[in-house]
Amino acid sequence: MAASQGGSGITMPNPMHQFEIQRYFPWEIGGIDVSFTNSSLFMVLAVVLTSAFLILTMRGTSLVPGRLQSISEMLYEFVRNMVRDSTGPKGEKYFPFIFSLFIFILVINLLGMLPLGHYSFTPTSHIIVTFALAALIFVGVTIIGFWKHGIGYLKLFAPSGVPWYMLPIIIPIEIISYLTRPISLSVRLFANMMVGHTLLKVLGGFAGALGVAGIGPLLLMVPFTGLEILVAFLQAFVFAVLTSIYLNDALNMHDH
Amino acid sequence: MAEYHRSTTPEDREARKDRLMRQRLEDVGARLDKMSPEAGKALQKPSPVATKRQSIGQALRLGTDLVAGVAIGGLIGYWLDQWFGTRPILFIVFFLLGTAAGFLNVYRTAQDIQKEQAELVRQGKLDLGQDLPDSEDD
Repeated sequence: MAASQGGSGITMPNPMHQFEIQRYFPWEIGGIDVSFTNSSLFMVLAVVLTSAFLILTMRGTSLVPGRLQSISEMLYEFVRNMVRDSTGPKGEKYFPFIFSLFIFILVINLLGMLPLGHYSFTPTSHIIVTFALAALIFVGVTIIGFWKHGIGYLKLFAPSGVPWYMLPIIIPIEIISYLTRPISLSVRLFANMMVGHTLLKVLGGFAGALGVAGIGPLLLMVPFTGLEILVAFLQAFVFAVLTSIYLNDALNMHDH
Repeated sequence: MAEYHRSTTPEDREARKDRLMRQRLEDVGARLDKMSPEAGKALQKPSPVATKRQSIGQALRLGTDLVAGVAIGGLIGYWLDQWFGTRPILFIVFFLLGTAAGFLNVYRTAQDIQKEQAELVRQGKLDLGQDLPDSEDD
């Protein structure tokens, strides 16, 4: 909020300032910057908060759950159904991973919606964070595919029923389509989070700078904040759904 | 407990544990049904809001799927051109292939959506002939 720009008397907070990395504990190992930043802080916070919440609410489990326990159970069931629907019985082994992934992204997205002024930050609005997650999934799914099907996993690139003279065109297209997975997965999450947060900040800036007329942008911010919370949830959901769809391709290798 | 300690491989044990768990769940489900048959049915039907939320999620996938195909194709072509010094032939070829891959992505996503809808209609959870109850307000 401190940085302001523009002349002519009206000052507006820079809408991109919220994406700046701040190093809380500068640290360097062998020329690589491994500082503990605000991004790391929010990721640690997400892990600690979810672990604490899930462990505490599920400690004294009763058959008829209380409010908090039923939140945990609803989350569990929601992801469980999603994984079962998209991967079948073979995918149940990977449920803990997808559950953690979903909750991690969801909580990071929602923590970013907290109005903490100078300190608020959304790690998922940085492409490197989302790309690291997507790359992990991409490499993991590819390894699982080759591990389950051996070299036969390459058949994914040559769908059955395609005449042989089409294969020189189809195979590169299929390979490119496979390679787009981590890109579309990471860009979707990052772009949605960044655009939404920027929009809110711009509207907020107008609301502050326009004086009495600022009531317009302020009113507009109310539905957009709600929309942003919906997007925070949806993007975590889409990320988890796509992960289980990719996992399904690797486990069951059905023809498209 | 004693039953699953006898099994040999860990996979076996997992499967048995899973089966026992499922049995217990079905047991509880049956008992709940007996207590109030209506409550169970109401819970199983997804609300119109839930299906709507899912469709927004699917719609969001289409845009990036298309763009990512074009971008990846273009990048691969660009790199290969630099490698072989054949600019701009491979860039053009891979740009076109990437565009095709993008359309393929979109086509598959759309297919998945249709399959899901057909499944929902078959289960009687979704009626495409009727408007969703909450669609008057938009």
